[in-house]
Amino acid sequence: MLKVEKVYKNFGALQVLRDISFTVELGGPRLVIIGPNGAGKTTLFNIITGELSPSGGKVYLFSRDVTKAPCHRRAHLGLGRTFQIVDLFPDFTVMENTLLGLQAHEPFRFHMIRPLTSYTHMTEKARTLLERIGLWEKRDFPINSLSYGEMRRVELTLGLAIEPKILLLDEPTAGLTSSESLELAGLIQTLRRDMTLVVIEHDMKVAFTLAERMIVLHHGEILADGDPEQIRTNPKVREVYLGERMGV
Amino acid sequence: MGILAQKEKLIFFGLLGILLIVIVPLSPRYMQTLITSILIVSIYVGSANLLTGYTGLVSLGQAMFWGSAAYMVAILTSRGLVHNFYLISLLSLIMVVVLSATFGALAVRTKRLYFMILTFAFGHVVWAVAMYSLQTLTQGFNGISDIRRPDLGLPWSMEGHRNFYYLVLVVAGLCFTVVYLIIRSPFGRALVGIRDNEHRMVALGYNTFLYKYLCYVLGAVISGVGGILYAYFNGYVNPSELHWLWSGDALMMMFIGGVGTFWGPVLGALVYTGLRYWVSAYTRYWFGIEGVIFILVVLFFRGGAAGFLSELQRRLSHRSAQG
Amino acid sequence: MPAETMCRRDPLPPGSESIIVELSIAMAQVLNGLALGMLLFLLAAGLSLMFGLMGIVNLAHGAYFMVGGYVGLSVLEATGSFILAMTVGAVSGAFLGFITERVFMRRLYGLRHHEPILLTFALSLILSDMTLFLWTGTPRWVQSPPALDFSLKLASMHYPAYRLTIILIGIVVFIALYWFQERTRWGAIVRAGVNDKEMATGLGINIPVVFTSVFCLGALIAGFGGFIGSPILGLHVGLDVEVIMLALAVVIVGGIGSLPGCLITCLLLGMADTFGKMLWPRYASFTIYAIVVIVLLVKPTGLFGRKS
Repeated sequence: MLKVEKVYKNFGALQVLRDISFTVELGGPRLVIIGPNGAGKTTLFNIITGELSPSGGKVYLFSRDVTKAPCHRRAHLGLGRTFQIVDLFPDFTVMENTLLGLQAHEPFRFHMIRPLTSYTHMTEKARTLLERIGLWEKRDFPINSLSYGEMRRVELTLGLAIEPKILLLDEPTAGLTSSESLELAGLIQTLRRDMTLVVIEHDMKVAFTLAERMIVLHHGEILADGDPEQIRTNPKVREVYLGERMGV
Repeated sequence: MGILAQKEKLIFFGLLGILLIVIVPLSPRYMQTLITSILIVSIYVGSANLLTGYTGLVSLGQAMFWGSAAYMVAILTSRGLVHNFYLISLLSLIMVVVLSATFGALAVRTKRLYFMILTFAFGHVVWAVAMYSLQTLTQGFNGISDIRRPDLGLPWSMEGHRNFYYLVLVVAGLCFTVVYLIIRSPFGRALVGIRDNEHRMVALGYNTFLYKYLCYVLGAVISGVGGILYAYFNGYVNPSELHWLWSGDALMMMFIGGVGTFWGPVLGALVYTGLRYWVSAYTRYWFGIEGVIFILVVLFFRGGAAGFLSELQRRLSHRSAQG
Repeated sequence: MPAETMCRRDPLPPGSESIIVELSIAMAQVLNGLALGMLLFLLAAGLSLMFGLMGIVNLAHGAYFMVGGYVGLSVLEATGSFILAMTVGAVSGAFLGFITERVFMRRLYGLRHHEPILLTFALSLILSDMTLFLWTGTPRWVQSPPALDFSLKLASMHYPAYRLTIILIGIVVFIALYWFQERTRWGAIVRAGVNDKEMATGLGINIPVVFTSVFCLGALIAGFGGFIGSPILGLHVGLDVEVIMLALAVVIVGGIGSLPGCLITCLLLGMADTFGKMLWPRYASFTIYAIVVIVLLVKPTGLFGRKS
C-alpha cells in the first residue's frame, strides 16, 4: 500500500504542499483527488513517484520508506503512473510503445542477443493489453499519426503495461471532449480490481463517476478525505468550488 | 532495408558478399588498402552510432578509446614487450574497458550537454597526456612507428595486404553482427527508448543510468577494436588518433551516413574517406571543407546517405508498383 | 600565460625581500588570473545568454572570439587605431553571429537531437580553416595600445595597466549585461527562456528578432574580447579551441542561467588556470578539468545551475 506521511513541499518561499497525510490500501476503493488549479495535485504525484523530493515528510510504499528512493526503484515496487501531458515515444508505433512498457520489468530487459520479437509471449501480452484498450488495429501506426484521444489511450496503456499494484493517473481525460472523457472513464472502471487506482481529475463528471473515495486538495492542504457523496455536500468544499458545477 | 522483400535481400547480400570476398581481393592494391581502411573506420563510426545514434549520448571523445587501443598495440609491439597478438589485443581492450568504466561512471550520470562537454574535455586530457606527459612512452607528436603485422598463429601471414584485408573483413563482420544483434534486442530497444524519452523510461522503471553506462563501455570496446586494427594496418600511430578532431570526425561520418541507421557507419566511412582523399589532393583545408559538407548534410540530407538511399528505394518501388 | 611580474624591488629590511617577492608574484598571478577570467567572461557570457534563450551551446563561439581578434589585428595594422580595430573586431563577431543564426540555426530550432550543436561544431571547423587561410598559422601578437602601455605601481610591485583595464572593462560589461537581463523587456524574455515562445509572441514581442539580437550581442562581446585579449593571449591557430574549452568548463562548473554565477566562475577558473600553468606547466589546463570533475562528482548540475 501507499502511505504519505506529513509531506510538505516548498519551492523557495512558496509552500505548495503542507502536512499531507493519507493512506491507500491495496485493493481499496478507487481514490480520486480533486482540487482547484494550483492546489498541488501533480506536485503530490511527483513526490510519490520520486520525480521531486519533498521538503519534509515521508512516503512509504508497501511498508518501505521510499522517500529517497529513485523513480525506477519505486516503479519496480509496483507503482505505475500516467502523465497529464502525454509523454510517449514519438517515433515508435503503438506496438513498440507498448512493448517498451511491457519489457520494463522483465528479467530479459538487459539481454543483448536475441531480438525482442523472438520473445513471443510479449507479443501475446501486448495483444491482450491493446485489445483491452481498443488500439490493437492501430498497433503499427506511429504515435504522431494518432488522434489526441488515441494518444491518451496509449498513455494509459503505458501506465498499465508494467502491471502496477498501484496506478497513479494524472488527469487521464485532460483535453478530451466530454463524450471521450466519459468513454475513457468507462474503460478505467473496467480495470482490474486488485490494482488500486489513484486518479487526479479536473472534470467533475468523470471524478464522481470514478470515485469511491475522494480527497480534496486546496492550497496544498487536504480539505476533505472520504466518501464522495459526503464530499459533494460538504460546505467547506462547496465554498472552495463556489461557482463551479459539482458534477451533477 | 525493411522495405526490400526477402528475395531482394538475399540478392543484395549475395552480391555484397561476392564483392567483398572475391572481387575486392582481386582488385589493385590501392583499392584493397582503401577498402580495408574504410572497413576499419566504419567499425569506429559504428561505435559512435551505437552511442549517439541509438542512445542519444553525444560523445565528443570516442577518439580516446580508438587512440588508446592503437597506442597500446604500438607500445607493446614496437618495444617487443608482448609478442602474442591475442594477448596484445586483450590487454588493449582491457585498458579500454578500464578507461571507459572509470570515466563513464562519472560522465554518464550527467545531463546530455554536460556529457558532451565532459567527453570533449577528457578526450583532450588524454591527448595532452599522450603528447606531453607520457612522451617517453609515446614519443609525443612523432608517434610510434615500426608496428609489425600480427602473427595470428594461422598458416597465413598478415604481412600482405590481401590477407590482412580478410582479417579486417572478418572482424568488421563480427562487429557489425554484434551491433545488429544489440539493436534488435531488448537492451537495444531500451537504448532507443532512452534516446527518445528518457523521462518516461525512468517512470516505467528502467535504470537508465545502467543502460547508458553499459552502452558507453560497449561503444568504447568497439572503438578499441577499430583502433587495434588501425595500428596494425597503418604500422604507425601518432597523437592525431587521440585528438578531438578525430572524435568529431566520427560524428560527422555518422551523420553523413545516416544517424541511427544500420548502414550509416559504413556509408559514412565510405563517403568520408573518399572525399578526404580527393579533397586533400587539392587543398590542405580539409577540416573546413568537412564542416561545409556536414552543414549541407544536416540542412538538406537529414537522413544522411542511408536516408537518401532508402528514400530512393521507396520512390523506385512506388514507380514500379504504379508502372 | 607566462608568469609575468615586472617586479622592481624597493629597499627593504633584509630577509623580507624574498617574501615580498613571493607575495608580489602571487599577487601578480592573481591579477593575471582575474584578467584571464574577465576575458573568459566576455566569451562565456554570450554563450550563457544564448544557451539560456535557445538551449543551444554554440561551439563556434570560440571562433567568433578568435576571428574578432584577427580582424582587429588587420585593422590595427592598416589604420594604427586601437579603438577602431576593437570596434571592427567586435562588429565582425556580431556579423558572424548574425550569419550563424539567420542562415543556419534558424532552420534547426526545435530539433530534439543534437544537430544544432554539431552544426556549430562544423561552423567552428570552417571558421578555423578560414582563419588559417586568411592569416596563416604563424602566431601573432598585438601590442597593447600606447596609451595604456605602462605599469602601475601597486604595493611593492608594478603591474601592466592594460591588464587592469581589461579587468575594469569586464566589470563594466557585466554590469551592462546584468542591467540588460534584469531591467529590460528583452532581458525578461531571455530569462524566461524558450518555453513561452507563443505567449511572448502573443504579447507582441518579435521572437525571431530577439533571438537574432541575442546571438549578435553574444558574438559581439566575444569578438570584442578576442581583440582586446590578444595582447595577453595572442592570436594563433587553435586559440578558438583552447578558449571554447575553458568556456565550456565555465558552463559546467558555473551552471547556466546565472550571470553573476558565470562571472564568479570565470574569475575562479581564470585564476585556477593561471596558477595551474605556473605550478604544473606540463599539464596544460589540467587544473580546470580537475575542478570540473570534482564539481560534477559533488553536484552534477553545476555550482550555480538553475535551469534544468
